[in-house]
Amino acid sequence: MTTVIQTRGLVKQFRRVTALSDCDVTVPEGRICALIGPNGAGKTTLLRLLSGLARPTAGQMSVLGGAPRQDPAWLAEIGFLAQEIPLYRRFTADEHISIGAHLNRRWDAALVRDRLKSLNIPLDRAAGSLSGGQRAQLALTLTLAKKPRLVLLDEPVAALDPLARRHFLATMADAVAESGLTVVLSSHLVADMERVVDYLILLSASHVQLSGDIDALLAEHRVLVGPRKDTAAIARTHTIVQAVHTARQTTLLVRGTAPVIDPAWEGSDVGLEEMVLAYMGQDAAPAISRLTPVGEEQ
Amino acid sequence: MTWLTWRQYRAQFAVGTAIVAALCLLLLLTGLQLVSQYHAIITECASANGNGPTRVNCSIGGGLFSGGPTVGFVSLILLATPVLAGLFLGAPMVATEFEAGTTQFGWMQGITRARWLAVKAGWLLLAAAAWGAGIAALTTWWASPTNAEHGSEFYPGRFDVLYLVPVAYAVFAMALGICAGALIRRTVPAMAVTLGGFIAARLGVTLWLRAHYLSPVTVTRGLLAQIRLTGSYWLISQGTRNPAGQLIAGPQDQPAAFGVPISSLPKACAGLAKPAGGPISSSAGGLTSSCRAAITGFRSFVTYQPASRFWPFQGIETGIFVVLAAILLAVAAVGLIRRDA
Repeated sequence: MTTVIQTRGLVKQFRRVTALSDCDVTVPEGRICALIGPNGAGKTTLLRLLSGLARPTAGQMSVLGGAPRQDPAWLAEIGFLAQEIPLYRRFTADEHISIGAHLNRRWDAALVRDRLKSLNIPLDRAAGSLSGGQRAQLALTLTLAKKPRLVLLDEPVAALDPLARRHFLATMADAVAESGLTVVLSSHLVADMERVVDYLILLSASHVQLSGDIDALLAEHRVLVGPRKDTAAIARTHTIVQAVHTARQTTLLVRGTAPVIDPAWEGSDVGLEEMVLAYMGQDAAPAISRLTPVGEEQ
Repeated sequence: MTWLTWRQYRAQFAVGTAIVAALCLLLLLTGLQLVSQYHAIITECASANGNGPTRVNCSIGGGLFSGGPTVGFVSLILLATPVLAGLFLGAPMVATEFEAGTTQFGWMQGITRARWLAVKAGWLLLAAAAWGAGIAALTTWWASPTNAEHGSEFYPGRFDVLYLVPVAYAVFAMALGICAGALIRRTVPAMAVTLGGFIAARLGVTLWLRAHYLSPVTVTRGLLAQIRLTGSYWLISQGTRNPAGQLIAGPQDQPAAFGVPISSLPKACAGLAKPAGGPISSSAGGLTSSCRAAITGFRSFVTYQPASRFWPFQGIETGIFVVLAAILLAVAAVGLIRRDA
């Protein structure tokens, strides 16, 4: 298994604000990795560091076999789509295709034209006059036309309606299936992309809370429901991620594969969104986390 | 990258060239008038003197060419034109890309930021140099009658719009704009800094630095000898010192002789004063011998840059602004490559 991204102790500081702290992540090749975290968690910062657009304050990273750098050969292998979907507003899709053709050694113009045609996106209209969904599709397709080995997408679906969102993710999933590239896409909600992702990095308050293969992570976590009582016995064999107490009962999300012997606890599998929200809740103010029952929408 | 630069700037290149063409038209119209005026005066003067169509012994009134608000107006425009390219093309070059976020698009393509900057800046600098050269060439032609008449090509205001230096100013303004945009990353503040920086650099060099490129020549003579300077020299200062070496203040509505107030001359020369008052210039012929003896210790001096230094000065000033432009571009490159996008 080749790793495409590996970071160690990555720190990014903006004057007084620490945007990313002590970040260790690994992403193997060929995965679609969801980078999940609440607003301001440091997702954009991490993606910008990985893309080489920003430099870390401290720490090391290896992206596609080396540190991000100003080298045409390295830049050819990576695609990045920023959250604001930067395109030249006055340029048409066709002109964007020409830009890409002039600035990249490897460029699949036919791929862009075919995809845009199948999505009914006009090639001869200024990008500024396209709808948000069309712009996002155009930008994603341009990112893929470089034929990169790694694609970083920052909140690509945030501005899209549900249908456009589905089209967008389908386009991306097709590309992964065809070429075996690695994708990291960020979002503050995992539900958006649950169907396509198979790897997870959970970022909260500038720290990595959880990362790994999604199936493996789900297998390691369990929800325990039982009468309200002391959880010290459970804490000895499991890591308690989140505990929610009501007057009568206690609901725990625990990590660990050891069996729970106490019959008072009733165990069940956890869903991806439930697990993610529990980890995000760890950093929220205690009062809020107590008011937020596990598994419900925030 | 060249294709992208051309696509991004074709409208601006067209507008810029149109503006330059309009300015050239203005220069042509007023220039042709100046030339015909010049020749008419020479012909008239020559026929009056009966010595053929040359300027020998022709004294043309100073008011003819310096007059006319057009010349002054055109000169002002010419002093201001180099900065326009820096303001409207240079400053927005990087700044608008930051504002629109398109640096994140361009810099994730398969070219380095250094190349991105080099190609874009290269074409804009070339355009600035071409426009500057076009205007400078026409201006040099346009100004030739007045320069011939007044020998004024070395003077600040004239020197600045002729031959090489306007090209260097245009290149400098463009580089300044690019650098300001790259460091400030917002168009309007970058334009303000470009304008301020250009004016400061031009004024600083013109007012304080230029006179010292080569140390000026000072000629000193007795009051009775005349100092004759030839060609398009640049007069820096002139005056008279008394035998004690003190600078004598020039006459201000006082009776004067040799450019010196009579009151500052020895008593023996009091007879040079005429009762009517007002400044009078007296020829050496009316001097008494005692006065002649009394003023031998007075020295008048002229400090100037000789006409032969016109080209060295053009070269030095061009060099200064080209080097400044190169430094600004290097700063811009370091800023773009080192700082986060």
